[in-house]
Amino acid sequence: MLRSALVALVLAPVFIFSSVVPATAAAPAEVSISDAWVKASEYSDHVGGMTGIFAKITNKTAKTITLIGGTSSFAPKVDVHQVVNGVMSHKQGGIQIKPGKSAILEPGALHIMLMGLTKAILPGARVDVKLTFKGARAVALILTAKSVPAGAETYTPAPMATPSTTPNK
Amino acid sequence: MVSRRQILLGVAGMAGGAAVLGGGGAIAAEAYKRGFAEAEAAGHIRVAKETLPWSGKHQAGIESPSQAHTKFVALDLKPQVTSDDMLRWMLLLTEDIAALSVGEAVLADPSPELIAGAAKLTVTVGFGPDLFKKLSLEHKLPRGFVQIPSFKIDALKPEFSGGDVLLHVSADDLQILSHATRALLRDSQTFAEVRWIQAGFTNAVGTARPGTTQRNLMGQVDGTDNPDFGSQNFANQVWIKDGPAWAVGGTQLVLRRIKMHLDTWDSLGRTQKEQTIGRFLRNGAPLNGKSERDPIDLDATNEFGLKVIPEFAHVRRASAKNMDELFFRRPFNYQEQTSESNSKPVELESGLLWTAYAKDLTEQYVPVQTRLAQFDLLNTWTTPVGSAVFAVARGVKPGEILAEELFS
Repeated sequence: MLRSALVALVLAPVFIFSSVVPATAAAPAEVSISDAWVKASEYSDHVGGMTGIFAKITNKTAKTITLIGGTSSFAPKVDVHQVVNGVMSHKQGGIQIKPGKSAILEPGALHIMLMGLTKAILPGARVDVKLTFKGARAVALILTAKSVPAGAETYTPAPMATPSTTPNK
Repeated sequence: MVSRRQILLGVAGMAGGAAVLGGGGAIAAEAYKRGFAEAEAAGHIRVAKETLPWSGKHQAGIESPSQAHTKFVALDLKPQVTSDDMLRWMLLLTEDIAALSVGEAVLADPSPELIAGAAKLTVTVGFGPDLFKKLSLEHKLPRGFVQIPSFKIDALKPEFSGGDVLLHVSADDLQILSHATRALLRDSQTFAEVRWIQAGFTNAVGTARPGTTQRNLMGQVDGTDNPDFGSQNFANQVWIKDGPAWAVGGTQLVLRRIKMHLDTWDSLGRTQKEQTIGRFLRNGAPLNGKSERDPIDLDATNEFGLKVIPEFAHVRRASAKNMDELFFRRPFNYQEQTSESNSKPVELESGLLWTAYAKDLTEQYVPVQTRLAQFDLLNTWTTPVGSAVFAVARGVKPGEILAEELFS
């Protein structure tokens, strides 16, 4: 599928359009990532805010790999999180993905968090992120920020960042 | 994918098998049966599988036959929206269009299963005159693109008129179209508010032979004089050739919502209707001819020396007076409960979402509409109740953003 080509962005200039880039990867992909996006919300539209990254991540290697975190020019901290009983917390040890299997990162469940945003993330913004794995090479992506009410995440009982007071832009 | 092709393959398999003696014939017959069954199965989802190219020199949804269903959605910018915001909005829309046009759900779609295919979905994006004012982009207006004058026949309603941004979405399946429209509006809500939505239709897939000119709800064959798709005439009439980069390869669109007074229209006899139009109802042939494509002869006279096509006939008034007055029309029909009042009984209102595409509306469209407004017997049974113009951006290549040169 077209969106599996996202992985190829490691080699592509950053301005290239995430969902329609033809695959040009030289090495066989160890990890394929599809349907990846960043959530834009009142929590992400200001410096110091935070937001989630969602995707389908498939392990193409013959051994178990672990998504342990990542880096981004938008945030000093890129962390693997889970939501259990509506409460979000750090997922100790990362997300294990068995050979040939996929991890689904989606609102209200497993996801990657960008914490302490250094730049606002507004709808339609392009956000770079490099996901790091134990057992596979890191994967760089350019994602589009989308404003989608989903997952019923309220960041309670202890919000890690406050929403902006101005309406989401 | 195309059932007919697979049937042909099945036939070829059988013919090849027939050359083999004995058991080969049975094997070939099996293959034929299997091919036929596969073709039949593919036929069930044939409409969903059909796609139209979303990238290229021109946006989709103009130089192709009308799909069965359409929604014209006009939006107004929210206050304080800037060109930077517009660029981010256009990025979201471009990504959505790229996905939906190949039958995939947009990213982060909460109900992706509703996108059962593309069904020839197209999305065309345009910009109204007020947008250029609001964002101080008047220097990027394409030549001839202005708010058209109001005509004395008009009874325009604000709920069908104007708008900063047009999203024109069409598909052969209304359920896919509806979900796609919601996806596009979800990604627009940050930037703009919906001003109006106008829904229209033509015949369903499988109800007319390819190339058939459609009929409007007055019963007329409507659109005979259009330039052929892919022709030089089409390019000359429709696509902007020079001017601001974002508009070269784009066009200008006027949408007119034309209410039909069908009760009084239907009280006419067929001959009166044909005289009003200047064409035969049966096949759309001009009154001076036999078949639809026969040229209109405005000077032809009958045995009494009278004009065969009357002075008041629509085709006479609508005919171009010179080559500069030609444009492309791509109308859809509408039928809704009338919005006149809340009282009963409700009126069934029928009409036309009439569109014209021209590279210069002022030069090509306005003179014709001015003539029609002055005197056209058809005005007796039609009333324009909505009007809007939009400048349509050029098409994009994969990796580009719609209208990026306009907003950057």
